[in-house]
Amino acid sequence: MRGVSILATGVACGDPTLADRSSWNAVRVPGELPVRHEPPIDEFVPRNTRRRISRLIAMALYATRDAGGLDAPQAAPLLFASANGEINTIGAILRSLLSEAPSVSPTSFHNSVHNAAPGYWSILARRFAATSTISQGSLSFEFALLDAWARLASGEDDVLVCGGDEAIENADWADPGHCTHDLCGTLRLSSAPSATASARLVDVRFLPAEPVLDRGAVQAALVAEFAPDLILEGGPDFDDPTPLGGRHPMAGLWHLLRFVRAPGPAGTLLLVRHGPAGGIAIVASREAHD
Amino acid sequence: MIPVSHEKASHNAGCAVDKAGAVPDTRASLAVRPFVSNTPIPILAFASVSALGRTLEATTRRLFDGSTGLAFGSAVVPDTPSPLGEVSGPLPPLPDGLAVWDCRANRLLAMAMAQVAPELAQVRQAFGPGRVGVVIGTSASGNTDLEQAYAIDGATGYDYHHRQSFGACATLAARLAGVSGPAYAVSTACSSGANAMISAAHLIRAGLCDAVIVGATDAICRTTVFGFQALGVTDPDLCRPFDADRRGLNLGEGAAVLVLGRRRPDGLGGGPDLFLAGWGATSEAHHMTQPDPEGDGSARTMAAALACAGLAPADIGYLNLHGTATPQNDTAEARGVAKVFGTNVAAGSTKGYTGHLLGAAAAVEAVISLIALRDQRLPPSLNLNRKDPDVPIDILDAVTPAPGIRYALSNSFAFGGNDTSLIFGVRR
Repeated sequence: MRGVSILATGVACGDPTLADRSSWNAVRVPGELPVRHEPPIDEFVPRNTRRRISRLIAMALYATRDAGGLDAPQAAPLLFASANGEINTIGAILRSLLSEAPSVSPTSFHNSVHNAAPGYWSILARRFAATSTISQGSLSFEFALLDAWARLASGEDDVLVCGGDEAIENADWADPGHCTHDLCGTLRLSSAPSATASARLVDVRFLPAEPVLDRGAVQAALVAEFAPDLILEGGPDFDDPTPLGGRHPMAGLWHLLRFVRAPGPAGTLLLVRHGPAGGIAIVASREAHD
Repeated sequence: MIPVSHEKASHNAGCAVDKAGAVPDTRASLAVRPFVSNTPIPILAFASVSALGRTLEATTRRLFDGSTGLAFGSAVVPDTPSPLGEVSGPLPPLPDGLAVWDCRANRLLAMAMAQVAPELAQVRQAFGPGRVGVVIGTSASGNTDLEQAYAIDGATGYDYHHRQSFGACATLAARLAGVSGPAYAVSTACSSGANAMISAAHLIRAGLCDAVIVGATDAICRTTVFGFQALGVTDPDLCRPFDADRRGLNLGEGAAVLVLGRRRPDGLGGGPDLFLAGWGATSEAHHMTQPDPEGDGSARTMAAALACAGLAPADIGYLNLHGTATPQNDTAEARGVAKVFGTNVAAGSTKGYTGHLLGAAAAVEAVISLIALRDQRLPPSLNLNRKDPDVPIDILDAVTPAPGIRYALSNSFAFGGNDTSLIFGVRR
């Protein structure tokens, strides 16, 4: 069978480290994406760690755990994707550097790196597998999926892909208008045969930017090849119909998670995301479920 | 020698899988798993810029002169409490039409790219621009310029998308090279350049690209200078990797690019054939900033790289160590080396020449490893007056001829316990 199995997915919005159920339910994305509305298992993130980490790190931890990250083979790498990473922490550091005696909090400093979330994951989950962090603006998740696809095609059996961005709150310089919601999601991909997976990632393809590529012709070829039931075209230049706002960097992840997780009939999705550095076409299929 | 035995050590994902099928011409298809092997990936060109030199020639010369690029005082962070490996003097502006990407890190990247322009033209011609990808590592992107703009007016109107967003350096590199394959950034703090290399290798092995421009860039900025100061791991004097009196690291800046190819195009370059032979990447699962003191994390990573390349420890003729000169790193790393290679090794750190280039360190040290393989001689670890008795391995203290050397391994470790080892080879 073509492609790889999507063995499981996890998604988190808002602050999953808050034990208070009402806070857990106060998700920042009111759309149709089914989110697990249940308090997290507290033991996974110790209390002293919870106080130190950003919402993005917390979301990545719980989304990856909910995607079966703890059950994945020890060798399965985790690819983390984020456009803006720990941008709110970086904003706080910028302010602290303005003082006459500049100082940076050690915790803020090591939490400001783009790979903070996968670092915490490996420590808390006690996993020795490789992690990497990929970034390319609004197509960060899509390029991480392409990177995962390359790894699966060249011999990896299992890969975890986690994408996430948190709402920009104290970094006006970063055009906060393009990221006003939190969203993080993880897919557990496997090239091994699975009797239980209800969804597959059928193909991931890079599409060169115009004028190299004629968008219309490429889309027609993809439609002819995959006969999708649902076609979604988007990217930063599009008016993207998600509750995340038109230019949210994780809009592509939102569409893919919604297709895989929401109740509905069986079908095939063609998700084409265009950006200034080229686009990515994602083809996924799913079985019917309630 | 202590044999390394661990589940991860024998795992060589993406490196030595023997599956039926063929790599399609234009894309990776998982309908049929493509045939992959641990065939070396040719390195078609390489260049770096750092405090050691703005060109490959200057870098090579000073590497074997033993002259450091570290200096007291800084134009970028004048109040730095420790020496820096700053690229002194004005940096050339970006070419016409690309000025929107202007920032110190991108200027450094462009300086490295310019050195391989002739080879890039041949690669573009041989494979076609759409088959050439770009993966660039960075830990701070345009943070130097963002800090300056923020201090002036809160960075009002700052072009975040082009000058700071992490993917910007990759998009710029693609524009500089005139290529239109996939282009993205990898950011895993101080191992960014190595993880970029691993992604690039997968793109080639999967058949998604025929060549990949891979490298890394980072510029000195206040966040990292004062951040590492806050962690208490900087040396107010010149850094002394593996020395008994070492106190910490000095920061540096720079960029490097390598061009990896599915094959070497006809007529490209002279000199010996250099290649990426394998890699290891693991997580220490120990602490966000502290290494596993016994070196088990780094040992796992080096052993994984050997397994990936299909090599034995004795095949490695030069170990370019992470060697930041922090008390914790150097002891832990040396213990890890001893577990895999024994104590009688040809090993050293080049941080005493360049400082710690953070996200660019692995890429610049890849170039230094390639110089060592090409020239068959090994640079010493600078400022080594009295080796730490807790460092159980030999450390190079003089330029050492290495006739017949075939493989070099380069380590880079990062926050989050992100450990990487790259193995480069030469064929004459």
